[in-house]
Amino acid sequence: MRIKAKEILAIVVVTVTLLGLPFFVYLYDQTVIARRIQGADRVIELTGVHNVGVWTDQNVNGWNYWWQDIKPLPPLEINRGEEVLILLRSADVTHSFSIPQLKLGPVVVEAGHLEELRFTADRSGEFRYLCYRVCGVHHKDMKGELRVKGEGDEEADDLGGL
Amino acid sequence: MNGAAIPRIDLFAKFPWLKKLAKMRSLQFLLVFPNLVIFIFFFIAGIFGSPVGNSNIIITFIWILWWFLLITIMVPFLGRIWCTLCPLPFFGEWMQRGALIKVRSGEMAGGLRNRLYGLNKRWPKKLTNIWSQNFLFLCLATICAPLVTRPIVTVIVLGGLMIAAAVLALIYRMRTFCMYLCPVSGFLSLYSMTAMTGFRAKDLKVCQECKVKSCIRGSEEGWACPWFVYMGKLDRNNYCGLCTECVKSCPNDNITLYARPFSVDMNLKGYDEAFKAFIMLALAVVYSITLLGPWGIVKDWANVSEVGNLAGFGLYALAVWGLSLGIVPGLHSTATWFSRRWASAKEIPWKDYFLRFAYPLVPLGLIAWIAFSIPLIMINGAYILSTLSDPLGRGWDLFGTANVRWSPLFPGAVGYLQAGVLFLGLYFSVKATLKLAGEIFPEKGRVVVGALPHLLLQLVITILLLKFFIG
Repeated sequence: MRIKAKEILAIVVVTVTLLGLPFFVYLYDQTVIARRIQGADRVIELTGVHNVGVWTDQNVNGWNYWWQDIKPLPPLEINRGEEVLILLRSADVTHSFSIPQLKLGPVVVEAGHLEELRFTADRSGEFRYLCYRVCGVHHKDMKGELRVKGEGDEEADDLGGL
Repeated sequence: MNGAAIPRIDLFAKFPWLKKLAKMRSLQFLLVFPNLVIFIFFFIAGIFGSPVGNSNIIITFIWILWWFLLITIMVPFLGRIWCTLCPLPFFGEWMQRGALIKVRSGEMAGGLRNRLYGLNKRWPKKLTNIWSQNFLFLCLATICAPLVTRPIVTVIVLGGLMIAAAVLALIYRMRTFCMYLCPVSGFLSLYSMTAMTGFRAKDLKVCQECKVKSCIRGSEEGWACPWFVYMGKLDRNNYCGLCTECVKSCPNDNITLYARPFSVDMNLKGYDEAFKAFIMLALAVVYSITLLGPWGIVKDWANVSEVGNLAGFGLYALAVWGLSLGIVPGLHSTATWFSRRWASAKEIPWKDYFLRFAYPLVPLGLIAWIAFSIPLIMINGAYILSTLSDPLGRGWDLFGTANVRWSPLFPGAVGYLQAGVLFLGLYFSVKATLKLAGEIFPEKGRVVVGALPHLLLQLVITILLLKFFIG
């Protein structure tokens, strides 16, 4: 191939690859998530962040871990009868996710791994989710509320947690 | 290689396909571009992936795998081969040359026969040394804990270097950034002296009689050496980036790749290079204590971004800089003083003597770094497998290894391997010391007493490293 043609080809390859690479990474990432969430009526993505002691639905990554204002979640609300999938990540240390009143978990959540918890919300009420593994000084703060709405709302026993 | 006395094999003569490859116009692009794509992917992973180092490919592949391959295989066998592949100057060089593959020829100021964009200024003469690289490398070494564990810090540093290379390419000539600023280039320049390959002119007389000097001035066939090297005078690997432009442009087919024994370039030419040797040796000690040692307090001091102990970090920084610029050079100076006195070598200028016997710290330092890198790969290598399949730590599993859990590889053998490698380093530094002493002292007695203080220093350093590496 003549040098001029090689040069043009090189420019095209560089441009297409560098512009396309972020797009393909994003697309593949979405494909991975889409495969995981098949069959679920409701998907909740949670990330455990030990240095502020929260489970958050915010996207925590290499860029924003240090400066993003990560706030505790308001109560999660789902409907009775829904097939729920909770996707779990850790932004730092190993956590463990559990909803003891629903006898769900604990699911160990290590950094760099995507774990999941699938269940059918067959009881109405307010339930507590929490971190079931001592993960740091803010471990006791890593809890939140899950509300299952539907007929025959029940008061959930507060079983507390670790 | 200092003349025909050093045994060497002409690899281009032995393997003609290698010569054909080196002459290929698109070789550099074919080597660098895939590397660039990998780097950009690493940047994406560092920004959008897991903030945890061992779950992010940018940390595991750069600070474990690349570092291990660089220091253990690339440098000792192939010198500055990383510079051939390095993507950091890609954009700068593209803008400067206005081309990715082809050569743009034409007359330019300074005798260049290639057309370059940009201001093409000369780097200030006072800075045409590696002191800036020494300084920058020490700056990076000071923040090594967050650098090698936090993806975003690696993104910022490497991204910053890439931007700096691009900006400098538009202001200064050729690869000024690589020559005088790149921290990686700094230690590659020093340790490539030990490498078992290197480009050289086949016949220096041909270079002397050459009227065109295409290697340094460029031609229609090749760019002027981006490293400002004239092949007729190249006698060390230090500043040859193995870019193969001289192979392409030489009108006399007078450039070849030689294979040669380990550690034969023995001539340090300035205090900047000697201090590079001191810095690298000091850092081998510092890193063995900080990253591999059992002293949690030192890790906490170094890990200022997490722990926030500024006073401790200050102590740590003082230790890094003090050891590199004060203690190790001081020990070498002391050994030099005694050596010069015992060997009655006052007629040899202090600087020449100091630089001559600083060289043995080069193979010693390189091999100390190899010993440091062994546990990196054997203890942390499992993370390479997991991040290969899940590079961003977001639940991918590209190759089925995402769930490979951490497990050290033959941990019981690490200490033995490190000890063996350290003694190998001592062997090469002793060998170099005796050879260098033999070159200036005709009497055997003077060789021994002249070498003795340096040999003792090398032994003490080896024992210290043994202590820190294996307890």
